[in-house]
Amino acid sequence: MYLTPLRLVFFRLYLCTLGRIPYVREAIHWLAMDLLIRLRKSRNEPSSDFYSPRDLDL
Amino acid sequence: MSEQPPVERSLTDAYGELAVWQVERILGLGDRNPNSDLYGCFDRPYWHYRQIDAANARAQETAHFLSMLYLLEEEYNPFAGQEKIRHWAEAAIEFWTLIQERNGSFNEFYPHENSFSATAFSSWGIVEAIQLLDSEPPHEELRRACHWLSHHDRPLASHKRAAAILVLDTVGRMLDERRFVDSGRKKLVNLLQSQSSKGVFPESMGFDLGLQTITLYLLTLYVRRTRDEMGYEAIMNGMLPVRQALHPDGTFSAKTMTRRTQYFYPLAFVLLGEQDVVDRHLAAIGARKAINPAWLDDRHCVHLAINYLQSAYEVFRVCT
Repeated sequence: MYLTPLRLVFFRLYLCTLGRIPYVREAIHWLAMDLLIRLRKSRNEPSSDFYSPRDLDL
Repeated sequence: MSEQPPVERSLTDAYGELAVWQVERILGLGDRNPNSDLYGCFDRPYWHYRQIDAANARAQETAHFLSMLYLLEEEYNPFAGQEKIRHWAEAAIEFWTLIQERNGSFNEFYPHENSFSATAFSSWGIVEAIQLLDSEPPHEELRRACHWLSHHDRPLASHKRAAAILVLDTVGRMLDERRFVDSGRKKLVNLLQSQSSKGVFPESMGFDLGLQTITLYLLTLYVRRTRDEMGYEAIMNGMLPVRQALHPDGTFSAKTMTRRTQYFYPLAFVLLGEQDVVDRHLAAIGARKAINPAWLDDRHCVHLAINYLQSAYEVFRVCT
């Protein structure tokens, strides 16, 4: 329930400060996306998901 | 470039078989899980291993490979007519639209790279796939890619220029955008002016046989549609240094080339009925002296396999 006001405050601060500088905005955006990608799936994945004959009805 | 088979079908079947031999490997490079956010991404180091921060747009050219695979009804191709192959091709097209930069370009090695090569080649692969599958083209993404290409150039890399020429013309006609067709024509004039009197299209200020074969097949596809006389003459001139550099056994010395490329793209020679060159090249492959897709790393394997499969598909299309 506190998330939406917190988010609003955060983005308002962000837009008024660092977000006003295009290069900083770009860098923050890039780092955030990078972090999101890394959080979603760790590195050092095992070798899997290769093609298997069961994938197709040949 | 008549509608007769340009070279013997048994020869192009050999190329087709070599390409089909790589299908399982190529499918393994793609995210084939429809529930995944990255469904349709064929850059395995990106979607699976997370080794890189940007998906290589050139990996999405797999859509072109899969669409030919879906349509090529030959005995050696058990994947023809498989609906899942078609779905994966469409997924690859869809993913391509998601990784475009805001300015219309695409990346190959790192984020915000704005790669001319990735933009030109991947757009062409996607357009070919769309035409083969008769799918609805992603108008806006293609328009933005062509807009970016028409404002950029790579004078030292003729094969990249040739890809841009072909995609600008193809998309211009597809979307009825005259400005792209004209831009492609202007780039063609520049490319032909850069060709040396010996027929060499410059690659880093000199001759590179492997890259010359790429330029030649892209220009051949362009000329086949536009019937451009100047372009046709340039292709014929461009064949000369290739014929001269190719040894009788079908091999060539990559170390003397400006970019030291070791591969040979046969499509132009197939389309123009250069039976002798095709014979020699296949003999070199048979003798394990020439590179084939199986010897290459994943990124180059896909590109060369596409060319082999297209060599087979173009002849199959004429014969059926």
